[in-house]
Amino acid sequence: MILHPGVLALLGGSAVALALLVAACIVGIQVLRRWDFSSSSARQLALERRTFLVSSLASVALVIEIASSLLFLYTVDDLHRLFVGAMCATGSLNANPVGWWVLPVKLLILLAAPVWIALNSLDVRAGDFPVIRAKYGALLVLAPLVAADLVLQARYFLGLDPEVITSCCGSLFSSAGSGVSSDLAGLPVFPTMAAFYACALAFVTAMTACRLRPAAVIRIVTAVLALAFLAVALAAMVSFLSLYIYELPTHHCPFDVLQLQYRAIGYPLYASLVTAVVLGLLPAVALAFRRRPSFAAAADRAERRWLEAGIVAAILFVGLASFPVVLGGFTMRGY
Amino acid sequence: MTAVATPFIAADSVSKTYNPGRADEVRAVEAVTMHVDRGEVLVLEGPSGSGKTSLLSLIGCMSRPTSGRIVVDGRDVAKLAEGALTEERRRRFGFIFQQFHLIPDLPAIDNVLVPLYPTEVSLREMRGRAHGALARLGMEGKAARKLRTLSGGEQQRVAIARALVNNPQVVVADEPTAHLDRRLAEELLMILEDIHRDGRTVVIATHDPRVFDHPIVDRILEMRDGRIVGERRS
Amino acid sequence: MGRRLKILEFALSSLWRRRFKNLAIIAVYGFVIAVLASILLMTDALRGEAEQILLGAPDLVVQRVAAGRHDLIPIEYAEEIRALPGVGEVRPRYWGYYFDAFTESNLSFVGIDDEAPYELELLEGRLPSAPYECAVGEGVARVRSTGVGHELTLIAHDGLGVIFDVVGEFRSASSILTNDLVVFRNADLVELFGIPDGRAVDLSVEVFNDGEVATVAAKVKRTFPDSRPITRSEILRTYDAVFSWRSGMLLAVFAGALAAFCILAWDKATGISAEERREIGVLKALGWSTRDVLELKFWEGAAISLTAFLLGLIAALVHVLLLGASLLAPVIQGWSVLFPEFRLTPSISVYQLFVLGFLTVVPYVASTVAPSWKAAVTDPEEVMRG
Repeated sequence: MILHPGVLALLGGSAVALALLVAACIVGIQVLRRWDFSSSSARQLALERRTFLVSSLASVALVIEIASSLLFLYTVDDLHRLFVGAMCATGSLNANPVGWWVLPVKLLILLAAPVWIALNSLDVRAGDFPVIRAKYGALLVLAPLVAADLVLQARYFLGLDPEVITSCCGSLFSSAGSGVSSDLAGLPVFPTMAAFYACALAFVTAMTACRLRPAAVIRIVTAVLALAFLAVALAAMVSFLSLYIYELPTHHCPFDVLQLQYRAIGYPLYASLVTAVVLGLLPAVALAFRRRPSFAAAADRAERRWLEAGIVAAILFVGLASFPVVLGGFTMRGY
Repeated sequence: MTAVATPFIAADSVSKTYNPGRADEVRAVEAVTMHVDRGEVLVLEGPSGSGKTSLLSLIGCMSRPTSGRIVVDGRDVAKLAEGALTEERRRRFGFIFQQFHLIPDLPAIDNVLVPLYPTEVSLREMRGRAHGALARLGMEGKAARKLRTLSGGEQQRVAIARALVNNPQVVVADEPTAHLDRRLAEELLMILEDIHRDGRTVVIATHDPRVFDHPIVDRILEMRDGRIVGERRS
Repeated sequence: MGRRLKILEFALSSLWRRRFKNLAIIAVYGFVIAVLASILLMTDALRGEAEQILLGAPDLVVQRVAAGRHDLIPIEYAEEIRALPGVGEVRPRYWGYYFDAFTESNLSFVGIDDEAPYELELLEGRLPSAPYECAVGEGVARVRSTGVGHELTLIAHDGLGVIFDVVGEFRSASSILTNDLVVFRNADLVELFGIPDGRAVDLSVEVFNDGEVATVAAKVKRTFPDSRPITRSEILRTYDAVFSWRSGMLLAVFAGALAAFCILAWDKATGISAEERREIGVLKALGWSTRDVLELKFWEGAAISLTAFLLGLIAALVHVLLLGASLLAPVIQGWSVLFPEFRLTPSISVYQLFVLGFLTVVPYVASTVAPSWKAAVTDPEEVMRG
């Protein structure tokens, strides 16, 4: 059992977030059961007041979850000192493999939470609660996800045993192994680079097109490219971007970039990537609800800002990632 | 004052029931149909409990009716959600409450600014408007004074300045002369007359004869037990 | 953006108007944060000290175990160890503890031959180079009222007193390291402790490649079954685990205090005075929507949290760095050994601040969500009806 302050903060924070989210779901269900916007009865008014409670509870819970993703990365990285053979987060996660499952769950939450918050804000702005059912329904999906996050984190942290000797990224992310991570590490550098930049260009172009000429098809294409870009960027990280950051042809670990010796470049990199992807997804998600005119009006205004910010975030990510490739002293030519 | 073709505010068979279905149910307003013409001074007259305050809050977009329609400047406000209703209220109405309801620890100018905070108006323009409103009421020199240090009459002027600061089309006053002596009541009515001259509509709920017998009043609606029982022109 | 800032301004003015109640909340909140921050800072400072200490430590130290306890090691083991691949220098080390009856403190004695152990800075003077000379740490100098140019009397293993000349005084980047340290020439220390010929306290082993240390340690163990090889990273890890554990334990205990505070916060927020409720009603009557009032409440909470956080953090820094964490030290340090006072070196990291923020701000915000909502949905009509 590891009583590390970061672990306490994570488990406590996730527990609080889950409690708030469950409360939001309960009140949300109460609201939906008798909801009738066309009525002005006292009960309807009371329900409308309750919607603010649901919004507040859910928003706070989701913000906590977003912040805890960052804290999780930090903590897992910080814990590596406690394990023999661990030099970064990979080692800590290997010490209790349940930990690896936390990552995809957190990534899902990291994408879903801001999308929910954005949609909720649009719904409130619209004035007549056009998407209230979908919104509260989504909470019923998010709550189990957050519960899974808490349970997995608890199983991971409580199951950590410093006596266990773990292995680090050298073996996990080396091309001479088996499994996804090794496959990624083994991708040929220059073709992967080409694919990465091509995908980045496509994504930014799609967002720009969407900003200038919003249309349903373009929004969907942008969203698809956003997800594709997420996958390609993460693969690129393992495959070649890390090599340039570490200036080593064999060091593929995506977690060491979080460490101070590399100026913690990992944080702004991953943050800008996730931001760009979320913003790229939003127009398509909002598209699903555009049938309601009040929502469409609110979405129009917001969409412009999303796309502009998304373009900036994507360019920032590519810029940060390319910096060592283009301007660094290291080159992969000859390897 | 000539009435305009379409009334500015029209209430059609509105009712307001508090705590419906419960033991303490109160039917404050029952099936009232009335209208307010643009630019008129209308008085709702009746004893306490007659429903005039409730009717005032209905037409002032401060609450939603239990049933019926309310149209303000062509827009049906009875079905608006809270956010939109607040927007309407903020844009069109200025309120003067019976007890002023000013914030005692704030200086006069900050009290006047309160309605403008949640708007997109810049801080600078806000202050400009607030100073203008106070100056109009002769309170310019006392803008920075804490409310506690002002006399009753001066506080009244601050309350009125607050009601005017967002340039409302309608000024609504609820029992404005209830705690005032003769002199202050006179002053208040003169200020209301001044406001009226700007072209604003004024609606007053009162049971004070000093008000409904005053020459500025155009029309009086008598209310008893939540209904309108009479109408007369001044 | 302009609207948001204006509401923030109003929030601050509103907090100030009710300053007594709010300052009370900030005081309690700040105190809880100060306690938690002290725990985190202290543990981190101690961990930093340990890392500092171990910077100069040998890659591998070989001790001998007899009857399950640390025993002196034959110097001839060094020959075989030196022959292992990847091994550089192997040196016998002489060191030990000494209970000073005069001051009732435990001192650490270390023997050297020429170079200063680890990364020690000489404050004054020089290292011992002739018989019956020694150099002392700041703490020892203070506690035994001695210094360069003075003497230090110690009791040898045979009960006889020996007088040493103090020729140097240490100041180290890490004060734990040298506070209780006295450095002698190896020959003097052997005599003082009565160490038999051909023995040493342990052997320090240099390994060229960091990655090979574990392998070499395994080989040493196989060659000499009665030996106990200890790697530097093992020591570091042990320190880390202990500090993490202790700080975690304390935090868990203080979770109780935090919970109590949150209940207080909830209570204060729910039981808003009639005055406050009326004020919110007036705001709503004057055109503030529920959303605007929620934003107001949010900013109020943020201002309180931020102020309490900063004050608590500053209080913790003062407590840990200037006052030597006098209130918490006994629990976290937990050494049963008495030793002289020392000052911790400061270290705050972004991570710590983040963890602290998480531990303290999240529960507070969570407990004020519902009460804030309750206040924000006040019916403006209530104001009209008096």
